[in-house]
Amino acid sequence: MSDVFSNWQGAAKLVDPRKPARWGSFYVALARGRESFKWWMPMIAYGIGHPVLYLMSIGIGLGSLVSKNLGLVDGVPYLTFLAPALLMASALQAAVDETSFVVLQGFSWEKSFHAMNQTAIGGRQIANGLMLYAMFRVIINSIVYGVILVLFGALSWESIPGLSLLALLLGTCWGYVFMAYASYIHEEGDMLVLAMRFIVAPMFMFSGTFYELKNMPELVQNIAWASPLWHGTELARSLSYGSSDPYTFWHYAVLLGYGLIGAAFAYPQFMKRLSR
Amino acid sequence: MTKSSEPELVIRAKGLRKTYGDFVAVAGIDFEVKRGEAFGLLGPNGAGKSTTMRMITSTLQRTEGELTILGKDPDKFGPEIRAHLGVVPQQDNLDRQLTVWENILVYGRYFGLSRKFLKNKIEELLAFAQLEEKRNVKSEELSGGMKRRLTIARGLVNEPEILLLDEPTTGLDPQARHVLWDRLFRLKELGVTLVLTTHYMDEAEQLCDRLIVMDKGQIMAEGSPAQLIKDYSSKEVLEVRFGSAGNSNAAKKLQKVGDRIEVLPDRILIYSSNGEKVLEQLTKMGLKPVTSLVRRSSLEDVFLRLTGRTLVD
Ligand SMILES: Nc1ncnc2c1ncn2[C@@H]1O[C@H](COP(=O)(O)OP(=O)(O)OP(=O)(O)O)[C@@H](O)[C@H]1O
Ligand SMILES: [Mg+2]
Repeated sequence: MSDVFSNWQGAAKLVDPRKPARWGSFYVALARGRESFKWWMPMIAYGIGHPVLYLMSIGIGLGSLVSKNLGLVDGVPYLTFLAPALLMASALQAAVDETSFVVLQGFSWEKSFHAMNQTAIGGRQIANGLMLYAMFRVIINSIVYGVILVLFGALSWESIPGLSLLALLLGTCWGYVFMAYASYIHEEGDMLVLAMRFIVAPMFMFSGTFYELKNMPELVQNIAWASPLWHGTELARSLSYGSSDPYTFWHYAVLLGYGLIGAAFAYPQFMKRLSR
Repeated sequence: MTKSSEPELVIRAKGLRKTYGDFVAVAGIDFEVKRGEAFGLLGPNGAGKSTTMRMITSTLQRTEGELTILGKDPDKFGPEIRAHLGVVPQQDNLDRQLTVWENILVYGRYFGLSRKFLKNKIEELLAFAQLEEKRNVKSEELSGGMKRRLTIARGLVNEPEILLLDEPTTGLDPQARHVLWDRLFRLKELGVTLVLTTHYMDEAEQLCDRLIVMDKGQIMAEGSPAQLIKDYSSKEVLEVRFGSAGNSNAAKKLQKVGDRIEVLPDRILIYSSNGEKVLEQLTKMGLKPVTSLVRRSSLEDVFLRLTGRTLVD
């Protein structure tokens, strides 16, 4: 049998640094995939079970109540009103999942980013790879969620690609914000839990997911402007059933703004933490 | 790469310095490592060994000074340099979720190595680390020594030109240590440059062609193990014990005996060219040690002299 020594060629011959320079981000994303597919069973159960149960209880139960009392919401049946918002909310959640504790794990708990950084991979590629995998998760998540919504009659087939792209935009932009935030955390992660509890969780309440925002007090409407989820939801609603909305440009602008600011903090901080 | 009779310098540090805020971890050190050499960094805890290693690894950014690895500046060419290095950090950073086999695969991919190549390579490395039976075990389920062996094997996946080992044998059983020494020798025969830190002086003596002793971020001495022993210690050492109460008393009387003495918590070391003679002298002085032992000077004595510290420190 061959052993390490008899086949030794040496890195100078064996390794072409241009390859990892070009594909490094992709390798990182693949490794992330390999890690998370260890959890494929719960992932699939959750990915399908959650929307199905949710739609059955809230959508249909609450929906029939709303329809009975109010008739149409935003000019459409309640379920149609709700569907794009749910899809956006789940995209946001998926993006947060892939850019939060993973970052702490990489820098502090398991030091896996440091292990990657010992190889031909650099900090920028590690951040890219994380984001690539988060984007993949968001897309898959949106397609699955979209199909379920179609099966519940809440969405048309044609709107799935467009909604998935919107979900991707929302997930990526907010993902960068979370990734940046998480990359500044050094301790065990209490600050991360805090952000989830006081920023992400309330976002689901203040983004017009379950009701039309224009019927809400002005304060709530103002808060919604800060919420990426609201902007995503508004865009998704006009795409899915053509709800009229004068702020399209601003929705995109705010989302992209979040993404750019997040990225502007995330990349340098990744480099900094790895080089100390 | 230069083609000359002089062996190529693969590492060159000049005034290399690392500070954390006001704290100086590495205080401007100079050293060079030639291709194919086995170079050791010794020093007590906190001396700055790992800090130096991580700067060579081209991950930790230096504060000041010049550093060239394989002819390149790590500040500018980190990934290119690291593509040709093998890194075994002081603390294992394996992917706990992944199996032994997957850990090497994923790591190998980071160098752009193909799956086909890696499939065969992993078998070689599993044999190298004696982990064939554990291939499908999650790395978090390995014993401490097995994790260490996996980390070392993983560091060889790209067939590095320079292998950097930060306390490679910490946590290994004696048998595994000797196996590793043997394999490091064989790598050296293949022309791999070794840079290692260790707290085991026998290991340093066995493995290193040349070493530096560091303390408080500075280089205290540099040379081959034999040269260092010659320069900083006597030929022989007499070790005597007078019991915990008697040591300090006896030490007072021993000030003029031998070349030099070193009083440790549990024993006194007397350095001289002839240990037996010194022992006779003690008997004549009426000193009766509980135990006595004459041995040749070792790197451990050099370490003690230079850093004023025992290894337990
Ligand atoms: N990230 C850091 N921030 C601040 N100080 C640091 C940091 N890393 C290391 N140090 C300090 O630098 C000094 C040198 O540390 P280093 O890890 O290089 O020591 P060492 O020689 O490897 O010791 P050991 O034998 O214990 O591994 C220590 O005093 C340590 O506290
Ligand atoms: Mg160390």
